[in-house]
Amino acid sequence: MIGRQTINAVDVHAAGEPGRVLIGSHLHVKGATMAERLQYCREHLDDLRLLLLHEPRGYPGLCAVLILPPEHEGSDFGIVVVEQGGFRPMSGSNLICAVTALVETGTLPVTEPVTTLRVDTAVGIVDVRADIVGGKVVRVTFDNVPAFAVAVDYPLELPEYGTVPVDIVFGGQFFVQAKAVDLGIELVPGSAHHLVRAGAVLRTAAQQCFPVQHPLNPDINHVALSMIHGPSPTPWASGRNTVIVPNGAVDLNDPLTWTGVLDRSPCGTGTCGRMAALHARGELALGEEFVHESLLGTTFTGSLKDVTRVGPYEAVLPSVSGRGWIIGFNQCVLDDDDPFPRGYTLGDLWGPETLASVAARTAWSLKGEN
Amino acid sequence: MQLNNLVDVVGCHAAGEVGDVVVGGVGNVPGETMFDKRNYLQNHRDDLRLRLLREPRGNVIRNVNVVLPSNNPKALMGYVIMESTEYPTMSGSNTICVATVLLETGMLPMEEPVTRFTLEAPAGLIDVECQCRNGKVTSVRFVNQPAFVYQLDATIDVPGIGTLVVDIAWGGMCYVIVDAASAGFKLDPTEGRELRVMGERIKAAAIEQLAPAVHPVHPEYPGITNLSFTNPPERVDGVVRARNAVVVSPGRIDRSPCGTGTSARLAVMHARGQIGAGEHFIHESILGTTFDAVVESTTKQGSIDAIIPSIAGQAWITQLIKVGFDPTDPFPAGYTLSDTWLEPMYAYETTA
Repeated sequence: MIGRQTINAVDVHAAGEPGRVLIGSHLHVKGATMAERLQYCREHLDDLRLLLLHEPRGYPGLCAVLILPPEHEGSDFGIVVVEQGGFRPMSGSNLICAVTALVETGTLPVTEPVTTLRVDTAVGIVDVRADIVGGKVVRVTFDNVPAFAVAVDYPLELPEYGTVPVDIVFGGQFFVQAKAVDLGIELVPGSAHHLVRAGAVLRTAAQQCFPVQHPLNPDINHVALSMIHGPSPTPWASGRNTVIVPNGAVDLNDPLTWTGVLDRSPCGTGTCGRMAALHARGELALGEEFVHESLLGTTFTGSLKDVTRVGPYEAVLPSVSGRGWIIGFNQCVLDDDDPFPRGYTLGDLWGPETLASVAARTAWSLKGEN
Repeated sequence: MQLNNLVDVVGCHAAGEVGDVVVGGVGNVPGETMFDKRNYLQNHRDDLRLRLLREPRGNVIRNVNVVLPSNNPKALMGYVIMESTEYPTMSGSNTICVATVLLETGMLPMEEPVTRFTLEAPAGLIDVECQCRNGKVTSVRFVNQPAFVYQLDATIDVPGIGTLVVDIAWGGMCYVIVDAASAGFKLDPTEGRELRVMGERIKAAAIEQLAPAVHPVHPEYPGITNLSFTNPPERVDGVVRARNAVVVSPGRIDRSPCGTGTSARLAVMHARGQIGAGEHFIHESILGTTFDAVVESTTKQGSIDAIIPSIAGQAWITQLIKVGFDPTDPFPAGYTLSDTWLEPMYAYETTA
C-alpha cells in the first residue's frame, strides 16, 4: 500500500490571482482565537505551507487560504492566508477565492441574490456581501478592517534607485507603496521582472528602516509587502498597481537576491492601504469609487465607508469588490517516500537557494540512486 | 457553479520535473499514429494546452501528457506531450511520469516485482520496464528512440559571451549542448537566473546561425528547441558521472537531469569515445536529482550513426485534479507574466 497524505483544495482565482482554498484542513489548526490560530500555523504548519506552495505542487505566484471554524458568535467562518512569505492574517484576493469556493461548492448555506457573511481573521472581523446568481458568485464585496497611513511621502533610501518617497500603510497587512515613475519603471506587463526587482528592494529597505506595529495586534509588526502604483491608460480605471510578493530572502547588497513574484490581482489589502494614503492626502473622499487595475487588466473596486481611529492613527473603513472563478478541484497528495516532502525551489524562478531546497537535495542523495 | 471542458489530471513529478498526466476528459483525438494525434491537438485543440500550462491553472514549470489509446498493436497506451512552447516528440521525465501514473492508478495492470509494456510516444514505440513494490513504481527504465549527433564542435557567436563551440544532437528533442565553463558557468543553483537567460540566448543564436537540424528519417520533426549546459564527464568507481542544466523554453531550468537531453548527450559522448555500450552514465540535475542512462546498442538514422539509449528514473504522484473553466472566466486559456514566464527570444513553433 502506498502511504499517502492528502490535502483537499478548491483551486480558484480572483482577478487572476490564484488561491488554493483549503477545505478540510481546519482540524489541523489549534487555537481558540484567530490570533492563536495564526500563531499556531506559523509554529506548526510551515511544512504544509511549503508542500502546497513550493514546487512541484506550487509555483511562485500561488497562494492558499485555510478555511477555519468561526471564532465569534455570529461569524460564518475564519481564514488564515497562506502566502509565499508566510502565514498572513488577511488578503482580499484570497478572501474572494474563499467565498467563491465555499458558496459554489455548497459548503456554505446561501440565499440569492445576496448573502451577507462575517469572516473572522487575526486582524478583526471582515463583513462580506456575496452577490449570487444561479449559484454563481458574481461579486464579493468585503468591508475590510480599518486601514491607515503610518507615513506619507517618507523618503526611503534605496540602493540603485536612490531616495524614493513612499507611503507606509496598513490595509490588512503593512505595505510600503511607491510610484512607478519615481523608480523609473513603466507599469506594463512587459516590465514584470523590473517591477519585481524594485519591489524586493522597496520591501526590504522598508523592513530595515521603518519599524511598524499594529496597535491592536503586536504580532503584526513588519512591512510584509510592497506596491508600485501609477496611473492607468484604461479610461474607467482610477489607477494601476502591482504588489510584489516575496519568494526568498533579499540582501540589499546583492542584486541577485532582488527577486519575488507579482500579485496577479490588483491586491485587496494593498488597495485598502492605497485608499487610506489617498484619503490622508485629501485625494479620495468618503463614498468615492476607486477602480484599481492590475497589470493583467483585471480590477477591484474600492470605496471608503467612514473614518475611524486605530490606536494613535486616523483610519478609514474601506470596502473592496471583486470576483473569483473556480478553476479546479485538487487533492494534493504526498507519497511517504517522495524525496521532497516540503517541496523545493530553484533559483531560476525563486529567490536564491533556500534552506528548503538544500534540505530537499540532501533527502534525495540520502535516498540513493536508481 | 459550472466548469466547462472538465479534464481529469493526475499530477506527477519525475526527479523533480513535473509531468502531469491527463487521464480523462479529452475523448477521441483523430490520427493514426501518436504523432498524428500530436499534430491534431497542436493544430486544432491548442486551447487545451494553453489552459493547462499557463497560469492560473498551470505555470512555467509544468508539462502535461495526454494519455490516449494507441492504434499501434504493440503499444498498451499512447501519450501526447505538451510543454510550455511546443509539443515535443519525446520526453524522458514525462515518459517516466506517464508509466508511473498508468500503473499506480490501475489504468494499466501492475505486476510485481516488474511490469513491462510498450507505450507509443509521438516519436514512436517506447519500451518500459517498471520495478514495482507494494503498489508503488520504484523505477522506470525506458528505451528511447535513436539518438544521434547532428554536428560536433559547431561555432556560434553569442551576444554577451562571444564565440562558443557547441554540439548539436537529437535525443527526442534537438539540443544545443554547451560546456558550462565555456559560457562562464559552474552549474551552481545560484546561477539559476543567468542560466535561463543565457540558455535562451545561446539557443536563439544557434537557431539563427547554424544550418537547420533536419531529422534524417522524420524531416517533419522540429529542429533546435532545447539546450543543455554540461560539465565534463568523469569516471567514478567505473561509472561515468556528469551534471547538466537543461534550459527549457521560454526560459527555465529542467528540474530533472532530462531524458532527451541525456540521450542527446550520450550520443555525443559515444561519438567522442567517452562511453561504451552497456556502461552506466549517472546524469545529475542542478537540483541534485539523477537519471541512470545506458547505451543499449547502436544503429543508424538514415546515414547517421545513432545510439539506442535507455534511461531510468523514478516518479511520484503529487495531485489528483479536476480542472476546467467557468464560462465567464476572463482567462479560459490562461495568461503569462514575464516575472516567471520569460518573453520569447526566438520564434516558437506553437504560439503561446
